[in-house]
Parts: sequence; structure tokens; C-alpha cells
Amino acid sequence: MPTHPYRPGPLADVAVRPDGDRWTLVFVRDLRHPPDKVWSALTDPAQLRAWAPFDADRDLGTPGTATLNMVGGPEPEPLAATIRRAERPHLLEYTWGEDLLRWELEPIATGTRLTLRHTTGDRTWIAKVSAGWHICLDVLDRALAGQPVGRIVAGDAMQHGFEELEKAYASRLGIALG
Amino acid sequence: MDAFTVLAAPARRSILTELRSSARSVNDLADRLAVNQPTISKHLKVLREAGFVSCRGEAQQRIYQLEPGPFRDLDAWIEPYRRLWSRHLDALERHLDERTDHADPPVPPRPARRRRRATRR
Repeated sequence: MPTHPYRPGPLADVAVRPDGDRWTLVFVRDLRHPPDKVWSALTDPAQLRAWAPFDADRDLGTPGTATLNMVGGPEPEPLAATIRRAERPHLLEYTWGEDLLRWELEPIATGTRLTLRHTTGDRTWIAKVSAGWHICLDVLDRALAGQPVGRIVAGDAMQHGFEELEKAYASRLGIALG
Repeated sequence: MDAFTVLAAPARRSILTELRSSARSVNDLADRLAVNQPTISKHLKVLREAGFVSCRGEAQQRIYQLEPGPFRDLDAWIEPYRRLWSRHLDALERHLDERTDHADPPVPPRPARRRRRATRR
């Protein structure tokens, strides 16, 4: 399959909120595709392979446990997941290692408004997390449009503007990088 | 999880190596090890629960540092093997002593070599 060159698109609408002793990134991004199509890309293991930072051992569209294998690292890193909510095509929520991901899909005239909430332990992570999802969701959007740029994860992301994105999101979120 | 299982993961050993020189934030560890965030969070949790590292909050970010306890336990576990090893070395030394005294192969009657051996003794 031919791939197309990739440059990060404009910054997403982001906010960070305290959540007990943890922090939640709220990342809002419009995609040019209807919710049902986006839902499949979020849950089907074959489609996840095109854009996600992990491979799933099963379809994520039904509640229960799954294993998400992080890709691109120096060694295999299986992370346990529990799918808590799966309400096609609106709401998908699952634990991801120590973190929690909640994907909300809302139909809009141009496609889908995706709101991703990612809860994690450390506030300084949030800028990195934002940059990571920014690239992944750009890749997802292009893959759904039939213009695949190829999965960009782990070290590859450094060649695709990750650090600039991290700085830009840190500035937007008021997070000091250290 | 027992200490050896904790240390069986190369990623966790890499984290401990990074923490040897100083306490570090998760961001710092992730940058140094080029490991993604969910993975490093997972490993830090295991290390913390096993007592290898502790963490303190510092203005909304967590700083991780080494804790000596489990390393002392590991050292105590290894100690008898270290003694065993040193007994083997003692035995090796005795064996070499014996060979020098009694079991050297016959030395060919070559004057040059005999001179070298003589100077060494």
C-alpha cells in the first residue's frame, strides 16, 4: 500500500484536569469520518495495527479483559486492559496498564467529534501523552481517508515532530517540562 | 512479585541503572530510556511495590529514587554462593600449588628454558 508523507496537523483542543491524585487529559479532535467508521478503527485489531501504539489480542468492542501489546519498543510490552464500557458507536472506555482511556464519539456535520480522556498518574506526562495521541490520530484520520502514512509509534515519532508537539502542548496546557 | 522476577525484565533493570546516578522524574526516565509512558508507568509500579524504588511528589510530578532494602536482601541471598565460589578458588589455588611442586611435566633439557624457570623462582 502506498504511503504519503506526514507532517503533524494543527494542535487539538486540550485541557488537563485533576482526578483524585491523578490527572486527566481531555483531547478533542474532529475526524472526517462518521462515528461508526471511527468506532471500527478504535476496536478492530486489524485497523488498530494501522495507527495505534499497541496491538490488541481481540476486538475491543465488547466488555472484558484484553491484552494490548505496545509496539515499537526494544522488547515486547504487554499491558493488561479491561474494557469497561463499549457502546457502539458512542462510548468506549478501557484501562490501559495503570492508565484509563475513554473515547467519546459524537456525530457532527463534517464527521465525528472525538473526545479522548486519558487519565494517568503524573501531570508532566500530559504533554507527552498529547503529542503521542496527536500523531496517532493524524495517522488514523489519514488511514480512514485512504491516504495511509503508515503507523508512527515509539522512536519513529521522534522523526515526525514529536518533540515540537510536546513543547507546543506543554505551553498550551501550562505544563513545565522537566 | 519476588525480587528476581522484578529484575527479570530488562526494562526494569534499565530504570534501576538510570536511578543509580540520581533520583529522576518519570519524564526524565522516559526521555533517557526512549520508553513510552504506559510502559514506564507499569514498570515503575512494579518496582515501587517490590520496594526497589520510592517516589515523592514534587509540584505535580513524581520523582523516583532507589531504595536499598531489596538490594540488601539480594546480597544476603548471593553471599553463600560467593563463599562457595571463593572455596572453589581456594581449591584451584591448592591444585596449582600441587602441580608446581609435584606434577610438572618433565622439562625438556633445554638450557634457555631452564634459565627462565630458575630466574622466576
